[in-house]
Amino acid sequence: MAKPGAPPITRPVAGTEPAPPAAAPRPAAPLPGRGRPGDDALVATFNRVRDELVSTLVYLLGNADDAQDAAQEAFLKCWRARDTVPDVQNLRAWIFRVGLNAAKDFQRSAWNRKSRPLPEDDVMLPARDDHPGQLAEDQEAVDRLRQAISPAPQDEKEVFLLRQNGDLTYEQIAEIRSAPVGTVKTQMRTALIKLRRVLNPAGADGA
Amino acid sequence: MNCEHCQPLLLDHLYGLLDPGEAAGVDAHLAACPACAAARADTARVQGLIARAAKGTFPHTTFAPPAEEHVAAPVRPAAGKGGWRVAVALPWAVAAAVLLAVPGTVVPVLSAFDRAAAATRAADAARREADEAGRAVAAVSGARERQLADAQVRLAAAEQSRAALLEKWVGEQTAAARAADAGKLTIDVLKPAAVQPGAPNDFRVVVRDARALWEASGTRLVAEVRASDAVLLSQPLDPGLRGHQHHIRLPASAWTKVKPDAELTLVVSQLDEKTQARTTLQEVRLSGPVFATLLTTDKPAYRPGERLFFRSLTLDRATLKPPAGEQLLRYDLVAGARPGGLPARGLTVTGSTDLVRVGDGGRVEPVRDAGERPVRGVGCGEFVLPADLADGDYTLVLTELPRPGGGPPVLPGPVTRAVKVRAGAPDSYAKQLGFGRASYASGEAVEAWAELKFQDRPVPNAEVTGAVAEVDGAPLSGVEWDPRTDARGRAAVRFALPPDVLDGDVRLKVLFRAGGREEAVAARVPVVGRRLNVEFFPEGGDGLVAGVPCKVYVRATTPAGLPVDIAGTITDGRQALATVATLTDADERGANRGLGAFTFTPPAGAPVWLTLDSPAGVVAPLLTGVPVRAAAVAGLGGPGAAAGRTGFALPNARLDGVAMTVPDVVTAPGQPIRVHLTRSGSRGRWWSGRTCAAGWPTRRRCWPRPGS
Repeated sequence: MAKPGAPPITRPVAGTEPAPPAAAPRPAAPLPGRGRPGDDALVATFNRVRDELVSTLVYLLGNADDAQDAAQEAFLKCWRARDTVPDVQNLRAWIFRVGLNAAKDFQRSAWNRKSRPLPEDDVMLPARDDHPGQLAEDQEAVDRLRQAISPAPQDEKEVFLLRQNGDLTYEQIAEIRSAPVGTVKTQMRTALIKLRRVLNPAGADGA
Repeated sequence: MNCEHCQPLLLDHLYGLLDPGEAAGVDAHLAACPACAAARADTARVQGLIARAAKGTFPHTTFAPPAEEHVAAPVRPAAGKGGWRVAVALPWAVAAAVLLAVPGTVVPVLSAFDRAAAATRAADAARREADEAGRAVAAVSGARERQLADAQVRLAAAEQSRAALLEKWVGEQTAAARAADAGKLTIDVLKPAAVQPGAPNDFRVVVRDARALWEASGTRLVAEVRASDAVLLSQPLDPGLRGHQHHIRLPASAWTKVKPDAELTLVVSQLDEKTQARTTLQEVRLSGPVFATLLTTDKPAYRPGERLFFRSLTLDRATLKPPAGEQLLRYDLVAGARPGGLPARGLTVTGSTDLVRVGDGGRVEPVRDAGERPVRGVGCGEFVLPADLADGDYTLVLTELPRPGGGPPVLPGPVTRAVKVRAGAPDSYAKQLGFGRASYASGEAVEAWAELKFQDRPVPNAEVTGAVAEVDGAPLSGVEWDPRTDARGRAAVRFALPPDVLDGDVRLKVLFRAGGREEAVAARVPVVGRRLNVEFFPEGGDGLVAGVPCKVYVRATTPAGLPVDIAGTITDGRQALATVATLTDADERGANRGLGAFTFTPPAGAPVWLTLDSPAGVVAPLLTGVPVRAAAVAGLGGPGAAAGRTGFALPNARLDGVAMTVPDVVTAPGQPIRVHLTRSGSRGRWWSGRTCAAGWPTRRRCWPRPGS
């Protein structure tokens, strides 16, 4: 806790951290120790991080159907354990941790291994963002990045996705993975170097 | 650090992978090097691309709580696969059911032959049953398909009739709107934003008379300017100018008949030529007393189920007199900190300012003042908050409804007051947060203490379960706190502010566990961020005039609205025009309101801005339209280029106008009020001036003397 954490990439989801009561108005924000609003917060947070969570699972499991099943499985696990929600410090980090475990269960399960289509059949590409007027060049770069993320080693992929999509701090990722923070940062660096190379194949290490 | 070192580190820096020392080095280099700052922007674009690549969209996936607790199967949103599974499984299920039924029909017999024959018969029967079941399935599915086809036909028919109905409705609405437009008399009054007392004022009345001729015959239209009830000006509107603008001028002489607090209205009415009966068609408030409303509640925070009492008081801002007429007021309690929300059910009260006193036995008597006049301007009432009202911030909104006797409302807009609703156990301890210093800046370490008291005695050895800090809306890690309170009931809390606090909105919350319950205390940390609001108010309120000494008041605040002391220079990029410093007094901290004033002569046609010397490190806004000096362009990359283009811009000076200053802050009774008027620009005539003080009925016309 004492170490300064990495600055978050985006603003954290409102309501995931206990905030002073003087903070921005959140009439629906739950108070710790109350049952029903906590449930709502869980469902709301899940739906808010939906794209990030399912995208992460798509990259980890290799296809969208399994990822959606794993996401629903993670949701039901969290739902069954919703009594503990008020004790959870960071709801988002918890959801991603449960989602990661659900993905691992999925990979271990014999039924899913058998029923999974061959990886070549299902080149996993999440739905494209439709931004009218977006440069085609950008879209092409995004496609190349997507193709580069999929084949990355599992460990690197998990670290990168938990940081990028889950917005977890490196400390939180290290805790989930039971690995030293230094290792996690090294894996993140490796992943970023690869992605930068995809975007800029000529300049080896440039800006 | 140089550019070769800096640029490869930028992506890692954006992802927070650098050591604090390395990161600080990169930040320092970025602040000084435009090339690397541009590279940083490019890297941020790369980060955006990576973020887009990592995240797809799954709009059809939703998470909803299971209907029943025991439902554990994951719900697959894609229906195609599941439907196929059921279709394949159904015949197998039928067959399995048949096979299971077979052993029950076989009757054991002694003879093997009989047994075989019976088995054959049973098998035949089973086959027949299976066939029948198959036919039944086919029949059911056939029927289902037919029903589906029927339903689709009906659906298509319904869609068609819906579209036809919609078309018909649109046609009727259009026809009705046209008819309404055709037979109407509309009157628009165009007037200046503020009516100038003592000067001639021009208005325009646009009349669109589309009524039938017989309806409009025998009547004529009159426009009148009224002060309270006296008619200052009456002007018939020429009927020949149908659909045209009618010009109305209120001469300067008319103002001699106007009392200072009179309400001025422009009334367009229709006069019947035979009966001389008047019908008011349009009434527009031109000027009049400005009212201010104070809205209060009996407490700042409530618990669900409690009673909320509120009271509003409306008075003339100058004379402190209530409005002359009755007001219809509506009070809404809306969710959220802004008045835009919908009021919760049952949390709306409407009433008039007709104040009554409810005596013993329910006797109601109107409240009268000493002169037996009704007491106006006060509205009060109560809400009973529902027991299931959600926690959060609410806003009490007061709006004035149109007066029952006609006439525009007195309040220009809604008046609001913030109300908090908090459930949970009531706090039983007194808690307080204190800070070691009056204010902190970016990158500094904050030393705070949280104090726990019970009935004015410190509570020692109470457990501190947590401390959370939030900087500009983002949580801050690295908050350390003492695990227990000391003998004074205090626990120290320490954390370091990030190096780049922009808005300075830092909040701290500390959680205690004492006496088996959790209680929290929260407060705003006094932090001056790198962003400031600096506002300029030219005296006279009418902007700056070029070439004339103008007095300008200045106010500096943080984005959160806290006053900040500033010192700086007014410059046009070539020379310093004035120095600016806010009023500060180290002994009287209450006097430090971030306010100051300065006098300078704006140059013609050149932008002028304020550069700050203190506080240091403030991010000033980029100036647009400011010419960059050639020297600064030549030395691009130096800090001078950046500093020459940022600052707090003053409003542009007008080339022509009058600047008015009052040199004496307070004028003693019996003394003349001295006013300096300075004019620049083209030659012209002086208009007469008028002094008007609140509740001071006399009025003097003053003619300016040159040089005074």
